Amino acid sequence: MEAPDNLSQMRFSRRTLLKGAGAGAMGLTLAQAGLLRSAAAASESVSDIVNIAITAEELAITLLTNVIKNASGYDQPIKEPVLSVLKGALASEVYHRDYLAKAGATPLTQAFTVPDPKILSDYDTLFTTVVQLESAFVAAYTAAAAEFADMGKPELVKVAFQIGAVEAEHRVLANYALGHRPANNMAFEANLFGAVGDAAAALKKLGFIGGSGKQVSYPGTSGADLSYVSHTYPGGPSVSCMPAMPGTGGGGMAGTSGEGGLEQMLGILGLFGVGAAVVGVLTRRLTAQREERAEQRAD
Amino acid sequence: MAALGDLGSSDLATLRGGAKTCESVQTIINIAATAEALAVSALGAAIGNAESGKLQLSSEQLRFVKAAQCEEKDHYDYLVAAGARPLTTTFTLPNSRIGTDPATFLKTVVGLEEAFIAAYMAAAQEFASLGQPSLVRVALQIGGVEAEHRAHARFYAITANVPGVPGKVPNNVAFEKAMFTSVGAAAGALKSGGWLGSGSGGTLDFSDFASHVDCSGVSNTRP
Repeated sequence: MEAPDNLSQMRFSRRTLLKGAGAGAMGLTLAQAGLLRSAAAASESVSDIVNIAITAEELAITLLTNVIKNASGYDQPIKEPVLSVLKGALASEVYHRDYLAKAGATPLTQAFTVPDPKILSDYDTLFTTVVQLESAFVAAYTAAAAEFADMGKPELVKVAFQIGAVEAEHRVLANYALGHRPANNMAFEANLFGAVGDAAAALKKLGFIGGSGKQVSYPGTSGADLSYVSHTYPGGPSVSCMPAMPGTGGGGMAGTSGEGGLEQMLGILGLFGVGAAVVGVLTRRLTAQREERAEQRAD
Repeated sequence: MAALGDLGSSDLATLRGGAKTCESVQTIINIAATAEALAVSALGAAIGNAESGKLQLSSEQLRFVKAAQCEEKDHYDYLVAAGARPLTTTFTLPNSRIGTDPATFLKTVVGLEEAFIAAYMAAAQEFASLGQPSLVRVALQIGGVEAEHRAHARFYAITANVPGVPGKVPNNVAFEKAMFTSVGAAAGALKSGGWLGSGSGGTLDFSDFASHVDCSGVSNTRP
């Protein structure tokens, strides 16, 4: 059976619901069209993304558990320090999986396939595959981060970053185990996917999900030695900020006078993730001020 | 009809939920370019010392350092092409042993890379709040490479039993460490760490290293 296709040859375009529609044909203003494009581009939900992510993490756990168990059976036995690196990677994937599960993620499947039997017996095939898979995982979390940004969820951007960068560590160490020098051979991580769903499609195309190779079931996490890693949850300081508000100094903001201007501003604030409750409070205060002034004019 | 300018400061505070104002994209990439220039300079000094015998690195370790310098230069070039203006291109070494003692050098690389990872993590969050998902992608594409440098340097440090390097494997964290609430805080950490003028280990000028970068074996040179 042939080795998996090279992931770098795969490119997936970003989906958009407005592809080919054109703002003019729909009678939209440019601002409204822009808002709709932003919403449409985020066509995957948080649930979609985390469900795919946990599926990938459980695939990684399945492969690593099997590899570690059979480390001495490879044509070039997997020894220290490489074996410990794999154990550290397994521990990390378990913590990723557990975090996603606690966040409500459900795997799309827990049955995987090994596209090339040499992955389980040939050292070079194994680590070539690990390098490719880790590159895909980094790219998947990169896509996830961008999608979370589109949704206005910087806190989830942080988590995607914290996981994706760890997958990059696995990539370079697998590259080192493969004998490539320099092992750190990329200036920018590969940007392979427009959306996380494209990563899932790639795993299917490579034969790890629904393929014709040997079937392997997710074994659970009991085979992992979790003592290999620390920083076991995405903690630490977060960045909480809002874009600078234009023209807030005395005299009001440009474009915000009149009914349409205020509603547009409140809409923009909603996009920036300002809580509905906050926007609601402000709306009620402004309405009360407006009514008070109307009464004063009537008097 | 009330305009937002008619609102009291308490209304504006409610509106913003007490949140601070994001740094601008310009500010963020200026700081990032400064950090990348620092990395090119510091790694360049180490390479020069290694090649002259003042810093004992193996040929394999030297290859790692040269590739890392190339990658930092590619990050710098991308940022400057995007309009970044580094805050300075003159740096100081906090400790002269960074350029002469392999253990100090490796520990320093690990520490710097962790700061860079955390800086790009903060940048990604700010880019998200600024509505810039494309820049979020770039931040992770760079941050991932900084994480590779971290793990690679840790591998050599652990192999050499360098004291003060925690963990039994190079890939010793499940989630990369968050350290900063802004990219400016990362710049502040570099400054307090002695890299931006107050260090006593010698002065480095980016222009002395920028044109002597060996990019053998490095690909994906653009995001």
